[in-house]
Amino acid sequence: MRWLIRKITRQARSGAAFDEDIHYGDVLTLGRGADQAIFLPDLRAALAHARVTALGPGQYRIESLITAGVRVNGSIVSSTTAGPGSQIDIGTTRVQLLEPPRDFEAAVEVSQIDKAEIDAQDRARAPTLTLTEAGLRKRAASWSLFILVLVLALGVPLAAHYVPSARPLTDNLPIASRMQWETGSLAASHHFFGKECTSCHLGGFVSVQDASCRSCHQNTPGHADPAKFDLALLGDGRCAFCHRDHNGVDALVRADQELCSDCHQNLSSRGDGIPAQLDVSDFGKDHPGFVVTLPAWNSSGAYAPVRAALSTPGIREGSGLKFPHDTHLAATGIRGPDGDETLVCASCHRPEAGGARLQPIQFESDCQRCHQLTFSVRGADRQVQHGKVAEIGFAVQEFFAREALEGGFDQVDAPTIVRARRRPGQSITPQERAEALTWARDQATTALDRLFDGRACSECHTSFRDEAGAWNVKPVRVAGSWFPRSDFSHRKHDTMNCASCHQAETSSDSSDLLLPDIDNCRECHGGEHARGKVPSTCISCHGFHTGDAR
Amino acid sequence: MSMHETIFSHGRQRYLWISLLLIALSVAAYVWHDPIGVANGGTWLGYTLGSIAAALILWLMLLGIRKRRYSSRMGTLRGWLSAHVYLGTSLLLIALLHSGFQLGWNIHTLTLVLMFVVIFSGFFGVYAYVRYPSLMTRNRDSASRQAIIDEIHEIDQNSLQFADAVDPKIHATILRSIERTRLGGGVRALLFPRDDSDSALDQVRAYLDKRDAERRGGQATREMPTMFAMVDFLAASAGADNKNEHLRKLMDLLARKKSLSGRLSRDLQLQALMEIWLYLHVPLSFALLAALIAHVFSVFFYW
Repeated sequence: MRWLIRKITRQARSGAAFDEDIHYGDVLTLGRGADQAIFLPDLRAALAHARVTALGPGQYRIESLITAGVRVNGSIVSSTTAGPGSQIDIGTTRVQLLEPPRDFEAAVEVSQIDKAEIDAQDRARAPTLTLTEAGLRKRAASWSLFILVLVLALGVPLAAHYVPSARPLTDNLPIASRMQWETGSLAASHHFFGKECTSCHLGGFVSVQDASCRSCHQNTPGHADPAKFDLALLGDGRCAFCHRDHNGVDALVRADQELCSDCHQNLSSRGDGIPAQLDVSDFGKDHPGFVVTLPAWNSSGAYAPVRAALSTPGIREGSGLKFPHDTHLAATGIRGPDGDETLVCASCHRPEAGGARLQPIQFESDCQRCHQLTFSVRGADRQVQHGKVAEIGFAVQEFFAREALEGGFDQVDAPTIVRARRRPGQSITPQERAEALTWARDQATTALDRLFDGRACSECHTSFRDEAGAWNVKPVRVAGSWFPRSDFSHRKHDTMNCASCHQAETSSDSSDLLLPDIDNCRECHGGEHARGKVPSTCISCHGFHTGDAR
Repeated sequence: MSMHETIFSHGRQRYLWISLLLIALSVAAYVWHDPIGVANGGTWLGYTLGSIAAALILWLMLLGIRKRRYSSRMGTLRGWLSAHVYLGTSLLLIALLHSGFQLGWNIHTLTLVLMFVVIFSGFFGVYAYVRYPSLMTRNRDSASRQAIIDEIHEIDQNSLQFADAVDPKIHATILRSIERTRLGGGVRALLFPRDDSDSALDQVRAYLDKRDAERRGGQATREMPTMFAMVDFLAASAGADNKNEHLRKLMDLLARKKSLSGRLSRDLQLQALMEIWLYLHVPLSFALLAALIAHVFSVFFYW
């Protein structure tokens, strides 16, 4: 096999000079050894550095003979197949494979790599010494992150706001669109519509409007009657001023003392007709005594309860009822239908289903077992109906009329017609009937007198005869709600004794007011910031939305 | 250190005291403040602290501009850096107080988290600037980096000469070693350099072992603890053998190169460590700026 080896020796002035040589053999060896086909006088070349085998016309195989490899077309390989035009660089020498000319099976061109190219290679292969050279760029990363965050955190949510039809898409993105703007959890009761921001937030830098709140809370009354008091005087009266949502599931309703005390200072000086009672700042230190609603009737007999401070000297309750608590609660017991028994508060006072208040006392269930409304020894199981004065008269008269008309009534002072025993169906004369009924009326009058004046009614009621001479009783009313402006719950206090607040055991008269004043509460309760006491804010007892203001 | 002013002691620690005052005022206001409901960014104090924090973030980012303005007369760069470090640290607390410690999966907490990452990466930067320059000086041993690189190249040339005089195999080994020598490298190589320059030295040593074994008929060579002792032994026992002299020089050179390249990669590593945190600090502060814009915009857009 014939190889053409063309050597180019560059000379600065005269240009390139050629020197051609012929090599015989299958293999062309390259190296620094004297026996090599192409001699490379360069320390960077091994004695036998590489060999090129001609596989066929224009097809060469290049193999490195040392472990360091050989650089072919710029990259280091241990062996490769290459065509014409490929360059083998060893040190400063370049061996380029050529298309063999006629009469040759293979050809190479040997030249010195020019200095400019070596310098360029050195620069390209210069070591990477800093992070910047290693390709890290702060500016590109900064801009990319800036734009990425701006698009995802501002662009997408804004698109969702202005293009409602895009929300099915944007709201289902892995990064929540407008939900990422949510500053905190909504109140629990707002969760069901919370995904739609515009339920409350109109957007465009407008704060939440009361109209949004009222679209649901239309039945919530305001705080005070706007006809009596100008709430706007107090400043921002928006719903959202107090109700600040997105602060957790239970942070929407304010319970702090300042909610009230900020305004309830010198309130009475700010408007006409505002009672000084409303100037309150702290339950423990600055709260007036309790004002109670007492039953009363006006001159025309209509129920007209009055409000009075518990501290009013000589304050009495006027329920119209006689009831000595001490007798009923006597430790020695009280006579009952089955002998003496000892009563406790709960014998008569039972809590309502909700537990906050006590059920009203009912005569039938609470009193009648002992206080029976019988009116005749002959009908010991017959009682008059409680509370219906007119019907009592009828019932008693009818009872005695029946006795009189049936006859056979064995009583010495009764008229003969009443005493006579008659067969069933035997008629009596009109004169006899009139006589019998007269007796019956007398009996009824006596019984009613005894009922109203003697044994039964007057035990608890004040009975009197009206202008027509008929029996009646004075009206009776227990307050029902003593403190309608506050919410006291008996259930929350069911670990206490009744007697710790209500001095019933020593009360001999129903006009005794058995309600404790504020000092009693303060034994356990203090203001919001009290130490060693139950911290109690205004909202613990009072409501805010209790007026008509809208 | 004590004689010259550092970023910490600048202006008699003026910015340390300003930062401490800012922190004290913020904490005092937070403790004193009785917000409507729970503490959060939407109270008047929340807005105030938020405004301070946002203004601080913008101002801290201005350092990037100020440090490029060599002719600026707006305070010394050291003063700016001192304020940057101290006020930036105070931002941790001010922003937390602003949030009322309310955190969640939202853009607002993302802003806080980005701010924390930026500040803590800054802490590493402060550590790097305090610690690494002196380590670099010590490591370079009064040579410049370029001098080290040049010497390594020179050693490469000389080793080839000595290797050639010993044995073609050794020459090929050195050639391969030179080809394989990588000074510096990618980000990973710069930050966590691996020392693999031992192989050439090992192969030369193995060659020596072999020669020695052949010569001494397989006598135990493990008794010779170090290669230098071995070379001495060889030199003494076969004084006429010129190769031993070359081998000895070659090994000296290789050991020297190993030491130099080790020092160079340590130098590059320290340099990279001094810079790498900035690749977190700067891009993330721009992410923070975007998050801050979205944060402020969103709370007022949906007020």
